[in-house]
Amino acid sequence: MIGRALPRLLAVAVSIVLAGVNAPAALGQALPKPDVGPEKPFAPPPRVERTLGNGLRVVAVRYATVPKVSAILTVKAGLAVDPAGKAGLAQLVAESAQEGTTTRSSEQLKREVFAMGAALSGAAGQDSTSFQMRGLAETLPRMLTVLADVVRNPTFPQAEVDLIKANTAQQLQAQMASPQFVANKVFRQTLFGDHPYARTGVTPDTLPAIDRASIVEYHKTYYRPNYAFLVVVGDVAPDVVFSAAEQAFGGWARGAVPATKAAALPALAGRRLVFVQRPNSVQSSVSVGNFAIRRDDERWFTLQLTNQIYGAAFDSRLVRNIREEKGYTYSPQSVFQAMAEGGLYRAVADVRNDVTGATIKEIYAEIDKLRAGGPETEELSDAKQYSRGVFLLQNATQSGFAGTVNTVNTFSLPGDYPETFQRRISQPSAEAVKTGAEMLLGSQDSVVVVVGDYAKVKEQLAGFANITFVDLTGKPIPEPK
Amino acid sequence: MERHRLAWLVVTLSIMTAAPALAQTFKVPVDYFTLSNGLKVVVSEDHAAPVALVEVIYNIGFRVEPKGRTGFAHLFEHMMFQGSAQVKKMEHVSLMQEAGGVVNGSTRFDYTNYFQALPANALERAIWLEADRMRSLDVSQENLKNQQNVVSEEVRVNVLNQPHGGFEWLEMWERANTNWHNAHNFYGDLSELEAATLDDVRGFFKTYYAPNNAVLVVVGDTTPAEVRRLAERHFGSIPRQPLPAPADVSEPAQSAPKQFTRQDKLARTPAMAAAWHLPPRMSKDFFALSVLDPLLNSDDSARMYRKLVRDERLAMSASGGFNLLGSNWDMKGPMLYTMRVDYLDGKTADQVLAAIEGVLAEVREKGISAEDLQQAKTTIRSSFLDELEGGGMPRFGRANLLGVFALFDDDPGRINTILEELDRITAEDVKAAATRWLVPANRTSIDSRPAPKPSQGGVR
Repeated sequence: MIGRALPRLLAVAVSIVLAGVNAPAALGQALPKPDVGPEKPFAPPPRVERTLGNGLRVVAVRYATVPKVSAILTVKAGLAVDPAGKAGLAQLVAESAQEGTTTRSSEQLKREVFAMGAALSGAAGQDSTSFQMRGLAETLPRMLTVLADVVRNPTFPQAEVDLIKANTAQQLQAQMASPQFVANKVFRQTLFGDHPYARTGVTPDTLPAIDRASIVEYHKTYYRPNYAFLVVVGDVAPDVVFSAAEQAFGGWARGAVPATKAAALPALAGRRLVFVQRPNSVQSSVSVGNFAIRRDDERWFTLQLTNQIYGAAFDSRLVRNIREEKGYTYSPQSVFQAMAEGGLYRAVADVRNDVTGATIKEIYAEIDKLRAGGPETEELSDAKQYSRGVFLLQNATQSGFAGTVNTVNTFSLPGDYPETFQRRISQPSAEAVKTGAEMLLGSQDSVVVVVGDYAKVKEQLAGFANITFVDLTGKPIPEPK
Repeated sequence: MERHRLAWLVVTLSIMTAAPALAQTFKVPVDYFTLSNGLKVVVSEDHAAPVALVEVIYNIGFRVEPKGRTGFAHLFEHMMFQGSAQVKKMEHVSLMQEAGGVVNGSTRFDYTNYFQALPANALERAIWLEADRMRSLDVSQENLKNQQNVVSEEVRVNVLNQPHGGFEWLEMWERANTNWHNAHNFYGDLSELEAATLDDVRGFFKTYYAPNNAVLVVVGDTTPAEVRRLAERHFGSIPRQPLPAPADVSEPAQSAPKQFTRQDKLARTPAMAAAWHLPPRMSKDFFALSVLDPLLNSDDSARMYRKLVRDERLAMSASGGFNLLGSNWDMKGPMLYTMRVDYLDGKTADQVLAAIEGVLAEVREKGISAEDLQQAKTTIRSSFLDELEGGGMPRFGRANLLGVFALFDDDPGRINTILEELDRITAEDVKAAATRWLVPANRTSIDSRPAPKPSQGGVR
């Protein structure tokens, strides 16, 4: 591969030219570059929505790309509401819910999913927990029966909880060996401090504290129809979806869900470098970043463009510089993640040891350049066009469009988000993107995390006054020898 | 010969098969033609969304890269993005991005592909870009040096700096096979990557990157007539090249189990891998084991997971399949059925191997039930539909299947019949195939353990 599998980007529409002249090619001769034809309109498939008597919102979308269907059941509670000392509880609830219900053992449940040719998974994010099921279109009623059973009636058998905890303990050890996993964890921990977004899941410290009782309690509190929604996208008529949803979820009891209080985000002061000591590393895993905005912030479209121009797209400033000109790294990228209460921006690159310092310098140089000068005119129009194209691509599959609808509902975005995306991503001016860069790409106040072998890169970090050291679990250690 | 015998068997058995689980009721349009220079072209019209997927797939994979140049086929893939007569370095990517498209390429065992997913209005531009680099790749020493650095970092980030470093395929292929073509380091030794010259790049291009050694695939919101016009217009005048005789990639039969161990400085938990040589692609045993595969290793209902993770509590995860880099269908040469198991501290690779062998012995002795057979076929059909729709990028899976069926079988229409071929497999066939192939004498295993750590002042 020349790059990561697929960008997680978005976007819209623009200019256009007529197709090239239709003249025959001379023998053995190349023709000049053809222009790109007019953009074809994208009409997102219509969403039909109903709310069941118990408050469960159901969105049905007929999208007949192939005779399959995707269903996502989202509960609007995730890792952020885990009690103190039990970080990762939401994740264990999602996992253990699939290990047995009042009418199905773990084995029966998994066999039933397999037998119908479906796949089921559940995962907790910061703000929500989603169960995704994908299967053959004709099996939708059976799929929803199983999905509802997992969400409504899990029994969390002690033996299953014990098995998950035992495997999770070893999984944590295995993950600690991955520099990318550790970099993400320590970066969020450093940036968000005491805010719940510092959490990335279970840790070796919280795992022992998470018992069956806390799993049952979390489920009882948050897994409620009036605190959830169901998105179904596929080759199935909405009427069929609604009647199957009513059948499967209609008897799910409402509950009063406690209001959550948003915690304050900490403030950044100065450039802070956290070095994660990982002996025997042949590369440094470098992260540089800052806070960003909430997902429902009006400036989301602007920052999306800023991030794309900076380093999210393959052809972006950061990739051109440290990959295609300097050859420091294979996979540089910048990530902009907007969540319910706030967001983050993070540039990442895995680079050979002897260019660790030079990479940090170039990441900041590109940040400062974009903050000072904003985007070039053509660069901005290209970024808009790219965003529009990627939005089409992301929504050209059932699961992709289900993801978009899920995002709209998770963050309470306008219902016409799919219809207006192309227009809205095309609006921000160069000045707005420059302002966005000043906000998103923090320079003087920012966090740097390096996962590597300190002895091999120490001299290159001499410019940083404020360096602290942690081990692979994120705990402070003295400066390594 | 084999093919005729197979066809006969298939006809006989199909009469006895009731209620086909795989009846391919969903078919995709396939138009197939060849230009006068030998370029095969496949089109699959699909108007579900205004997008298209353009792929060029070349009949050259890392099995047949030059000796002394391990990793070269993949390095070369990177060079295909470094410019051609009318396209500057990185411009392929920027010209696609500014049209709203995304681009990538990948090097596999038996082919290399280049693809772009894009809004359908940019179709001609993508075809023009692919044609320009097939006609006139333009490389410089500076760009070669740059990509040697980038690929070295790719090897570091994906192999050398990762716990266990992809040992289940990189090291496994070197250990399980004996023919150099199958048994060298596909990602490449860093010193051999560094040794590549501009002449190597030009020679490789001249030899393998010819229209008569490639397939152009277009899937999406267009028509066969339009694609034919564009293909003729941009690729039609690229001259064909004499092709080298195919390399002998055959692998001799293995007659006794092979077992290896390695120590890993970066790993904190142990893992093991096991692999069995597979029957030739499209043989009856190949189809039979394709049906067995999801019963052994698909999800948490599969036999290996249940045995290793749940029943015997030996491992935290178990996975496996025909092709860690792709699917059952997209390899032409010898293949390995490969499993990776991350096992628990305090357990041993021998215990894991014994448990795996227990699962396989049961299949060899008792076969599988009619219900298992039916469910496996349903799962395969369901996954196949996902491949036709997506596969990482919208319509990529469909394009790639069409491409390999055109390249290896000269029959892209097989995309609409392959499930019927699988449907003819019986429980007896599965048992017989397991008895021939999934046996200890045909197996290689590698135990990968964390290296003992010297004490490091306060750092775990």
